[in-house]
Amino acid sequence: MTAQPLARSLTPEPAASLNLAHVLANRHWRWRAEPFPHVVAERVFTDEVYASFAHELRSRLEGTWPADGPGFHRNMRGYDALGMDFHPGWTGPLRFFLSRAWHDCIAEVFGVAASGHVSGGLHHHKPGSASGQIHNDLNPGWFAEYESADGIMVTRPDVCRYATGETEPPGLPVTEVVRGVAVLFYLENLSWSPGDGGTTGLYRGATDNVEVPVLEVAPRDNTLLAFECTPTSFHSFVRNRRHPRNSLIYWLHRPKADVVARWGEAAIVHWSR
Amino acid sequence: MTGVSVRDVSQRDRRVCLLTGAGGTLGSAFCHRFAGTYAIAAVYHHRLPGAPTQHDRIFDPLDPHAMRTGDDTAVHAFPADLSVAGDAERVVHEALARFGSIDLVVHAAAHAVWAPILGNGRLLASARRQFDISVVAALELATAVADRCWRGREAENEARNRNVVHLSSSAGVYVYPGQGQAVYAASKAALNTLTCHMADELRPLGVRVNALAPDSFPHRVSLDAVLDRIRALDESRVTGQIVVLEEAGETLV
Repeated sequence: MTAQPLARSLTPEPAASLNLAHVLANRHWRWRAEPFPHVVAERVFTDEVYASFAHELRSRLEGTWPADGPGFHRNMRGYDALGMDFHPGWTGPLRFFLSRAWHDCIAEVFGVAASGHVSGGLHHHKPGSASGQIHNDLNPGWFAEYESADGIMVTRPDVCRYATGETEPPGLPVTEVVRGVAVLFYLENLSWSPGDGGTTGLYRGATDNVEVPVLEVAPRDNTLLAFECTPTSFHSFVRNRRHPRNSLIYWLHRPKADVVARWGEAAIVHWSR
Repeated sequence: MTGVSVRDVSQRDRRVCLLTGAGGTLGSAFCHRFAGTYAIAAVYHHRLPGAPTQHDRIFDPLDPHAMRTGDDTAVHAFPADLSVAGDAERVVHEALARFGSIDLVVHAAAHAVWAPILGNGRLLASARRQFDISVVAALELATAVADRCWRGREAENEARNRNVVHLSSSAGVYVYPGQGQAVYAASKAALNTLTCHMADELRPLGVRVNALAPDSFPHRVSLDAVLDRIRALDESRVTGQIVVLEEAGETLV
């Protein structure tokens, strides 16, 4: 079947691109080497910007946000969390994360030659959610091609399965890339305190005890954790005991050939069907 | 730009704290809260302190290639296994090499295994390590700091109100049946007794020694309450006290 481009009517508008210098409250981000290279930043955005992000998440959880796509649902294999995926028609302040400016900033921080392909969304772990499995996020992702004014291509779950590249209708042009950088941004965890769990655990190996991370990043509001996706970027959600845990997850991607050249084809962790 | 928190005490004015168990829940919270109050030598084993360390690098995300320096909020982290002979002395040596003196020792390291006495070998297998880290390491740390820093400096010790705080447990004072705490509780009881003897023997040096024995935290006693009490013990003039901290309040033993 001959590949057909998506109709222009499906072409989304580019995400609002704000001046980062105006929205970032903290420009002292912290690079840490252990247990694998990562970045942590607290009080990332200005109070006003953060409040708009938190309001949007709260409204989406409560179901009062105007529908712009599928709402929260179980969408993560191996997790009992609820999630909702970014898509090109996303409305609201959190669309900032789909901007070219944010993409380029994160790519530059890690020195990754990013391809412009972006995926992610929102995660909500109810109290008592179980810990996840330790993984490294060095996974492939498939994107439907579409016209994008700023070159940012967001996942289109309505036409292309991210994990397999299967399209609906079949035969649409797609691109396979690999996750390059993961960003977790914590928000709406107002009552979090040490001992509550809901942290992101960082590990030295995939066989470590998930409950005993080498380092835990607390899900404090307006805090960011970011790392390059590599064969050793082992991390996991650690069970939350008392309060919900909310976060935004964001991946930018890089050409598959770059990953193969650096770590070999076998390093890519393919999705189990 | 708002930037990260700016602490109000400069490095040269801060008291020096040697903290063990810095990667645990309490240790990480201590580092997070008091990094601007104390210059912290943070001793950890498996878990890294959940606070900025000397290995971190600060950068501007809008100019990531220009690294910033000079982070007064970072703790100085030292890896160690305090059950290994000589490691306690080594971290004291390294802390003194880094900071020049030690004003406060907070021994919060523990190896806690709760299991029944009968039925499997897990408790027995863990017993020596539990005592080594709770009790023997406490003794080794205090001995090393006294030998290298406090002996012969009685006036300075008094002036700087130097002291030791052992993180014990109410399990070392009360018996909670059915919890599998036999060895854990025994090690904390031994730590309490060691605290009293240590207070007596370090008094001539002008150094105070106390223990804080909280109920389960952060669930029955808040982490903030434990941190507040450690801080209060450091600021006080008491010695030889075992402070039991429970939901209802505190009692002295």
